[in-house]
Amino acid sequence: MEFINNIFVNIAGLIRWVFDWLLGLLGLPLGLTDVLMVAVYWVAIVIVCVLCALFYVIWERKLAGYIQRRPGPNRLGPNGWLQTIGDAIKLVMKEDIVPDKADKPVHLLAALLAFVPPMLALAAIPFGEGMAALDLQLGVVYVIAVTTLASLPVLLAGYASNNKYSLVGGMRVVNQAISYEVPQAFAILSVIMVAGTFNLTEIVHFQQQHLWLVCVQPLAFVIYIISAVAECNRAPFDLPEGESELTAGVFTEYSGMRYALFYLAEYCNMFVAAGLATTLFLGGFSGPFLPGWLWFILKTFVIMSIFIWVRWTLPRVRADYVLRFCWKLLVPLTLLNMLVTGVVLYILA
Amino acid sequence: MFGKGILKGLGVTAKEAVSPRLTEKYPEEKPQLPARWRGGTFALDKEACISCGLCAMACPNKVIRQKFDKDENNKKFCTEFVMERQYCLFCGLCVEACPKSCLHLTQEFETAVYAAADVPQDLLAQSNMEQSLSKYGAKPPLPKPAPKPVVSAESSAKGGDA
Repeated sequence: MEFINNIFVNIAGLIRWVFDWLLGLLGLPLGLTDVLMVAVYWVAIVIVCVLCALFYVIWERKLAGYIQRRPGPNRLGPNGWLQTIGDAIKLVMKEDIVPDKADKPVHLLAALLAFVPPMLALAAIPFGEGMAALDLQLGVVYVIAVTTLASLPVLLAGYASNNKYSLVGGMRVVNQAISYEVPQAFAILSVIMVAGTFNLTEIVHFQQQHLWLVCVQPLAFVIYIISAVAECNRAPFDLPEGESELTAGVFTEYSGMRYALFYLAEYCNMFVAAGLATTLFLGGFSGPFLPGWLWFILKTFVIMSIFIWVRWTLPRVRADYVLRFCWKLLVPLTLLNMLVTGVVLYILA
Repeated sequence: MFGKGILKGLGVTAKEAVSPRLTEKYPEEKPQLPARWRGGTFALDKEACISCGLCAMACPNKVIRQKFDKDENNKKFCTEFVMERQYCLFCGLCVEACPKSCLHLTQEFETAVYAAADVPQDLLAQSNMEQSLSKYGAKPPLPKPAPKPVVSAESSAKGGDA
């Protein structure tokens, strides 16, 4: 069991040994191993992103189907589990249309950049014991900063489409994203106050020694989940996608592979939010019997299922209510939560 | 409590997610059609048909194309009976009009064909009576009239005293 727990760490160690040997053979400085390991970690994170997108697209459709008393996609693959591959092939086969007066480089750049923030964030999240590609002392600050960037490609997409409705949609996305960062940051800050460290692996160790932080900070957990749903532009806060039912959405002028990039990036963003929620509140990779990374996968699966469950239950919130809810309810609640946490910690210390 | 509606809604969807699926998985499971469903093909009992032509007269869309001829006993018989299904509304008026109840609709719903020439149905060539017939147009037996109360001569003379 120890072996399975450390299997990815051992594989990384093996690759590092191979690089050291190769570099020693070629006579190059051994510091180059770290540079080459960056490439290996990046490949690993890309594989994680692709796998999670592949799985969660079909799981969302299946769970949505179950909620609606129907089986979801059940034709492609055993019970429909290969549906994402069919989706990807379909989107690749579509015609790549760019509007005539649109800003062509920015139009493409927005689609490509959509994947960057989730990959950057996944670099710092510990998937298992010793399995954070970047074990930063300020891991939490780094992840919050990087997830802030996730709204920029959507804004670029709205701007580059040469469509006034897409532009307004993009503006609304930024509005929503920057507003919900405040309660998200304060909720995370309450957790940091209890755990006493910004290092994500240390927070998981704290939860292993004491108890899951969701028991200590339930309100912060709920507010973090709500903020994460708003950050990922998921229902009930899915103005950029939902506006297509009214006039046009942010992604109207995106078809085929460009849309596929945004679509998959959305699931990667959700996975980052779920990964952060697992690490900060649900004990990360800790758990009995099973290997740590498997616990991480299971806990992230539960959080993602909560996201999907909320999406298929609640109606869309109007744009002004989105902001009203954030600033008039969530921010005072998180501030109150921080105050109470601080007072309790002061009394207990 | 703030958010009670949301929690109630989440509870409803959670319960639905673990309930059995209601989908009828076609084509593995065929749909259960009602007994009197007005179906996609026609069936003609050729022995019972008296070639009266009432079905063609009842049709609102001139779907039925019939030709009659008289045989050596001067009895009418049908030489052509084609249902032009591309114009058919499947209203069932022809089935209702038939006095001998020999024209039927069937429970066949997979009636897509590859060629437009296959859509009109020649009922003399293929009567389709072996298919599952719809009960539409079946005339139930008329109820017998209630027996008249017997009034005897003495009681009517006395003034109908019970």
